[in-house]
Amino acid sequence: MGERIRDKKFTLGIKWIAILVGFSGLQYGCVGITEVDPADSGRSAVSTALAGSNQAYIYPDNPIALTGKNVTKANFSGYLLAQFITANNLLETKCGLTEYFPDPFNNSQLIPMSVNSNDECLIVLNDANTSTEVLQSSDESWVFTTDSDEFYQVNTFFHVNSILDRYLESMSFAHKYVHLESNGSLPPATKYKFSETGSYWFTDSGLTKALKAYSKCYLELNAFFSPALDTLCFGYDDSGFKLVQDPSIIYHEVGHAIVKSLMNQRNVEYQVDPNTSLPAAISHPYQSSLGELFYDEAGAINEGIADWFSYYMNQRTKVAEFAFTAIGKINNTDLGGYRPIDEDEDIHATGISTAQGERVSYPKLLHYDPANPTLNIEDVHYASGIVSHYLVALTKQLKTSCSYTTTDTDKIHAEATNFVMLLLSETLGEIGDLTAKGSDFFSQHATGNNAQKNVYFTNLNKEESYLWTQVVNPPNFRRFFRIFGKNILHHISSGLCPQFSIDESEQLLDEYGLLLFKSYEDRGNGFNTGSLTDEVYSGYYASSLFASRPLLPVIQNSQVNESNRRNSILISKSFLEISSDSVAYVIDGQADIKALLANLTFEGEDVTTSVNIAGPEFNNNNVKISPGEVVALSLNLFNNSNSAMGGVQFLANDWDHMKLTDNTKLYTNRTSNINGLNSSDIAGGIATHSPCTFDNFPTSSEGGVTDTSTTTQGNCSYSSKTNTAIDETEIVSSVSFPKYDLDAPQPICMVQYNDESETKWVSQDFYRNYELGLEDSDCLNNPSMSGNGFNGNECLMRILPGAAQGVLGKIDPQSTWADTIKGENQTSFSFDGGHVVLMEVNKWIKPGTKFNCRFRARFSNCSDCFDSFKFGDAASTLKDYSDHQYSGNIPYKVINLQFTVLD
Amino acid sequence: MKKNNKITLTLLSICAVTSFFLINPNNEITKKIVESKKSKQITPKLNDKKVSRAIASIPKAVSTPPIARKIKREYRGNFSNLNDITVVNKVDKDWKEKYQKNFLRMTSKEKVKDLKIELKKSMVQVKNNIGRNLEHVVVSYIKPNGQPFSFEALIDSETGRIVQTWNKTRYEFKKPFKIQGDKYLYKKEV
Repeated sequence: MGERIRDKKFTLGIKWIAILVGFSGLQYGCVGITEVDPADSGRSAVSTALAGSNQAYIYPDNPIALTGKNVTKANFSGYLLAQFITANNLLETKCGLTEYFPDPFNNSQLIPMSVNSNDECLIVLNDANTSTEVLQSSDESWVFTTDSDEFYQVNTFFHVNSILDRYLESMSFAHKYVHLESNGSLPPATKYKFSETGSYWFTDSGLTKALKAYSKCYLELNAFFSPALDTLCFGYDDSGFKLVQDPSIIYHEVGHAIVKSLMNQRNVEYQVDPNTSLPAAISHPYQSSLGELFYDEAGAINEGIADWFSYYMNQRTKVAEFAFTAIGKINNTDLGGYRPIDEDEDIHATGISTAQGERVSYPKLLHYDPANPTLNIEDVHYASGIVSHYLVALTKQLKTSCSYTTTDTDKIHAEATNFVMLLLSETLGEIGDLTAKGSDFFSQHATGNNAQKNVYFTNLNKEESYLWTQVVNPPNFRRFFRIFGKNILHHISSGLCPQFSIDESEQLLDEYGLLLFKSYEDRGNGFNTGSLTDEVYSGYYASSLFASRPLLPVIQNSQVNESNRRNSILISKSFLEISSDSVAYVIDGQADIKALLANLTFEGEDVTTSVNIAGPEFNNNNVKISPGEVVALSLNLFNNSNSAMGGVQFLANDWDHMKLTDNTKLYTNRTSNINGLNSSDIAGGIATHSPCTFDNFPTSSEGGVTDTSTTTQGNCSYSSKTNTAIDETEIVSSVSFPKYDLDAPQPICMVQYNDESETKWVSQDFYRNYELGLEDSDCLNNPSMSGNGFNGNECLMRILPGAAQGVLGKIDPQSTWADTIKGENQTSFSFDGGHVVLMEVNKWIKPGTKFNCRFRARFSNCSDCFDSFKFGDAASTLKDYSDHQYSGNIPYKVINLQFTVLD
Repeated sequence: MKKNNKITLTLLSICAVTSFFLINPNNEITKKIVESKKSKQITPKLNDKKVSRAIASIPKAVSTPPIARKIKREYRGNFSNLNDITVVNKVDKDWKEKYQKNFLRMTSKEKVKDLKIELKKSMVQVKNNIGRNLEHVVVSYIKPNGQPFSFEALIDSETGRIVQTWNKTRYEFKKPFKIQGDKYLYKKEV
């Protein structure tokens, strides 16, 4: 390990020099000094080729880039370079980075320290077969017959290891700058002590986990990254084509792995382990992902960053040209030959260029496929173009704007990409933070200040952070680029590169339609769940992780210069409406629902239905909602504005929209609680809820309740600060008596109740009790399934937790999503699991019963979904909503879907 | 004589256990490293051979080292004292079967291959001094379309129900299941 780490920088330097020599050779048509004689390229490992050097012959790029010809078969003869692979005798390696600390005896000095992985961080294998062994070197040579499986394993190792080395250098730079050299105006999200957590790479409670790359995976023309198994799988075709023959594909896939690492760097905390009373690195139970399974903007951002990683490594603005060309030929489809990440690439449609107003902009070009510009396809790989083109344009601008101590273009590329990596580390570190701290400055463990235990600056709090970062407030284009822009403001324009002014940054973001925010939120969106008060970074003025490095946050949020907003159009949420007559799509075909449930289950989503109470066996395909059915719902949302809406999201998860009728009666309505009350084991009463009135529905005569105090807990005007649902702390004689939190989030559907004198909207629990007389066991998600989490307010209609949100990529002006997808030709369209929410219907509901389900909707380029600031307001009021406000109605358009259950 | 045998057996056991600890000063870490290399089939190192010899020479009744193979249930969450925690659910030894049964029920007739539910960690998740037994698993399988898929999940140890899933496989080229849209348009009630 030590030898490998010690030699890392030297060998990396040699590698880069060699690669650059190789590229230069290609550029000028010369033969590089390390180029292999084609006659020698077929050596086997048992030969003496390169013996003692730990080298191999590698292809520095894909066959099209190497030959300059549009070839579809890989022939690397004449283009192979001798390169160092590893001094280990197995094709695996440990890794590490240099972490700097302040010299305690001299504040102006920094002390470098090597942080090394405690196990391999990379292993390359041929395939995932359990009997497959890790390749061994022979006579300290990694030379294998060209085109053999072993040859590709070694080449895969070289390219994966190259980007890992480069990434770790960038992280070392980012860590040093944000913690030790920046002006301290922003609390860094990048983990402070990687030496304690090892979270610069995959780790499970401080123990390094290896990325396993399979160079010849049993996949047909596909590749994947498995974040659960930490594996990269590169497929192949019988024709001889392999995805690893195109290194840009390798960089892209490793890019997904790096994104996972950056997103989760903060999700390991060094603390006293209460199990052992010893200090230890402890991982959060979950991990964050940038993007869910189907189309969403987080996924598009992930793909865009992954493409940028190809540019990071090879400085070229074409991705996957050999892979796309070869796959296109094999499948007889036109993939366009490559994926561009710069507007100057020829493949782009007319009207796309780097000229002002002609960039690949949001949301207009979300569905833009450069290879087939007339198509209209919702796919993360097309929407990602906005992100990849922006990141490349930013890097290029940093190369030309900033001052460097060198004129060497490759070194300038390395420095400029380090800047971007710093921005990515800070942005993804904050977005993915499940500790909800946002920075080690607010960690009671890192600072030793227990007063900070309940202080959170991102993703609400430690218990709800996964829900917040993946569902309630996920990283859409607005959230991502607002945080990214904040980091440009503080770390680039006010730090590393003052020549790249914040105006230039805003203008570039705006060129891509990404100036979707009004302020940078330099003060944070924090909250103290202990005292239930909002917090700002500036409240932690002079907090320090170590001597002489205090936090010096700004007092007021920095405002975007509105004159820079020319292309980024913000639209009020009032323009998002439910279509006037065709309000939704109700998918209730038995075969379709069965297939959808199976599909979502196979994708790891929890869509488990309530046995014997509801299931697809009840589905009748009448496009109505019938007792016992499982239905997929997609709101037929209409954009009533004159601009396109991007990233439309409708939520069906529980939220704070019901009010307790009596704050002293908190117990959930279940037999065990009723028995406890009757026996006086517990005191109080069974809770009942009434719907809060939003947008004048329901009115007081319809059962709605209103209030005005935003500081009184339990009020409709007071949104839950913690999103706590069921409180299980009432325990008598070892029996738990669950009760609701005062502001417990509640299921979205209520039911119409008619008695002799009035018609009211009531909670499901009330209705099942007073109208239907249903036992707990007759409810959806009854106690046998939900345990203490049983909630009678989802007894009749229940949203399946693994399908509680729908995402509609773009809605054109004066159009619905369906019409947007159909396009001008008005062809047919289809839904996938990402466009719908799944709801199960209790079989005991009487036909004719009327329901109202309160969805919450928003979109990314919304002017009033993230803040309430209006032009003309005092700048001091400029602030995004705090995280806890996303438990209520304010950031969203509340959409009421009413329907009658019919047989 | 019998007494001597017992003493010899006891001493032998103590020697074996002590040597195990000496050879594996941090057995948890060693175990994880060994596990991570399972697929590599590396030639056993000197220390590995010593372990196997030492254990092989111990009489069968005490051949299993006292280091519990049983996975320790870790407490996770915000709490200050383990004694203050009340655990509100039990551990059903059949939690995995319950989970698998539900998984297969939801996949209906679709055939899944190589379904593996690998336990990573058993834990008690604590919030406000209330603990809940959970199982952290990695679920992997081959989907009916032949594609490998995996994700992580927390499973309730009593009911076998999913608490949360995450880290799902990310494919480059994906053809999700599609449902024809137009035929399901739902009109507003009048």
